[in-house]
Amino acid sequence: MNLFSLSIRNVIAKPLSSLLSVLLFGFGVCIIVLILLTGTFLKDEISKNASGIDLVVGAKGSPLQIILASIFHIDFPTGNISLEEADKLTKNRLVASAIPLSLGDSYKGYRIVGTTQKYAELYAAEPGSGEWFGENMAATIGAKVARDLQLTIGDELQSAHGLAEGGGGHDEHPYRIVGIMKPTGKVVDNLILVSVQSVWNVHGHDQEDEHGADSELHQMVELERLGLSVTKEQLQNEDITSMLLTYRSPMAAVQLPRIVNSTSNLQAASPPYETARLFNIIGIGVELVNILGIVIIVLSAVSVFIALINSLKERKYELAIMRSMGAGRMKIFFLILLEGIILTLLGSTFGFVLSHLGFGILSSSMEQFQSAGLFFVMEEYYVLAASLIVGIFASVIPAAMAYRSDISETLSRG
Amino acid sequence: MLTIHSLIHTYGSETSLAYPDWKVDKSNHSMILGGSGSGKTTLLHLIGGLLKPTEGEVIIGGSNLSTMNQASLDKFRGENIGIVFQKSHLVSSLSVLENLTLGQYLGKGKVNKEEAIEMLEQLDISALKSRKVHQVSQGQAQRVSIARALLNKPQLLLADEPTASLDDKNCEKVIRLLKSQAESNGSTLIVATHDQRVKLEFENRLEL
Repeated sequence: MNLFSLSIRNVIAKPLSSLLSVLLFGFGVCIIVLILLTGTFLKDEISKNASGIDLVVGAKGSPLQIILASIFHIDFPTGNISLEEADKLTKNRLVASAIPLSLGDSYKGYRIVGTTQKYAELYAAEPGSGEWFGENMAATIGAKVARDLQLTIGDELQSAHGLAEGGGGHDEHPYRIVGIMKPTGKVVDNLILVSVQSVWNVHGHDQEDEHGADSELHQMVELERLGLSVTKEQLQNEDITSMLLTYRSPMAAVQLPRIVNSTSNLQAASPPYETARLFNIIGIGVELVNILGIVIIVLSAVSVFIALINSLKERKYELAIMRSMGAGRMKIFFLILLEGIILTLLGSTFGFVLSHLGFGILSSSMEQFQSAGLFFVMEEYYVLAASLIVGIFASVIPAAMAYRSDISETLSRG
Repeated sequence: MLTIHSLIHTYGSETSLAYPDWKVDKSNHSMILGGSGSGKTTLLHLIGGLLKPTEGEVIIGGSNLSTMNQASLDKFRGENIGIVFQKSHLVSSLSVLENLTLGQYLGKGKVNKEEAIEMLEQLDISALKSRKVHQVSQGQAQRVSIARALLNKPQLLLADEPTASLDDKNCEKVIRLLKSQAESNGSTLIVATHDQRVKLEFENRLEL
């Protein structure tokens, strides 16, 4: 028997009022930690997927939309840009490298990305089995796609127009799976990678047409920066959705977006700038939810306070008797304080478990993201410390009341 | 053993109680007799160190309680004085045995379960040891509170109206029990009561 076990027994002796305090505190902590986790996770996810990309160039429209569609593959693309214009831009001396993206089709909700191998290299993806999608109508799929759809090498995919399930089909042009990538924990896990030419083929721009095979239009042209080799006809007629660029020098960060935006059809979007803007937009909502969490914690502090005051009234004889048995004032003070701290610690533990559990479920249900599993952020320790302080605050007044009570008066009345 | 000397206690600024000088020798079980409002509970609290006198001295086994500060008074009380109150006031979140070990922890800082069980056996209530406090009868609860008061083998065992609500037969039993237990634990018993029935049990009486 000691102070700690006695205060635990006192907490257990009032299961309902203790439960209320613990639940309230737990939910308050849960909300705040959940926001912390989600924020950290999103920032982490964004920086993981946007690293190595200095600028995204797409069709005129919302730059945020371009970023979301081209980097995170969550929004719809703004439209297409002509290959010729794209090629012209990549020849600018400020551009170090460029990766073309052709978006817009999907297979059972998983997006098909027409691109080059450099795109996979951006995320350090490697084929775990099979090979890269080099040839026409070949596809290399992400690990999550393969797992979720039970696909193996040699299977055929009928792509659908649009990014949701059930779009119009391209049944006559199936893709053949030639490789499956190792899991990377990045966005490529959810993607089906094919060559840019394959996407063009699916959309019915076959090279077999009325022009003769020896026509000048069928001469091959190397688009060096983009890593594509196309016919002159394709260069003139075909489109891509966007390009991921890297800068050659820091100067480019200032000049290149201006050059791009002055071209009539192109729009430049800087990933860090746009994601910062995104966080600004959702920041108000986050703030509100955070305030809600704090309000709940304050309420729970009040409930701890009331629970202690009430039990103090009921137990004043017990406490006086304990004094008569030799307990000093400080012992009684710490007994009550400990009870408050135990309640809030139980509450915050409950909140932490709940928030991590909830976050695990939340993140694994979000298709675009990899399941985050268990991870902790530094700020959680501050939340823990803050909840401890709240617990001390809520119980210090009841503890002081117990400290000051006149035992002789109490006992002579009982 | 116990000496009180020109003891005065003042309530607020007006009512004040003056007690006659009194002496209790070791093992000379004694009683404080007085009607309600005569100040016998107050005197018991003064002797037990629960109250500080306005004037005068309380000396127990050579220690002057009047000169002690709060912390050393608490410590002295835990080690040297056991008190049985009118109501038993056991700690309701604990079992019977835990109520005793709590007394050991608070009084001596050390818990000795065997001693606590032995004490319950002495009082014939060892069968109750793991019961919750609300699962024992009032009479049993009083025995538990006697066990609790004697567990640390105090020099003084103080009892406040232990027989107030009992019939004649049980009244005698409780007084006998208190006396015999005080004796076997080397304590000196002082009973404060208005109960004339127990008058003849004690030779050394302070009448208020």
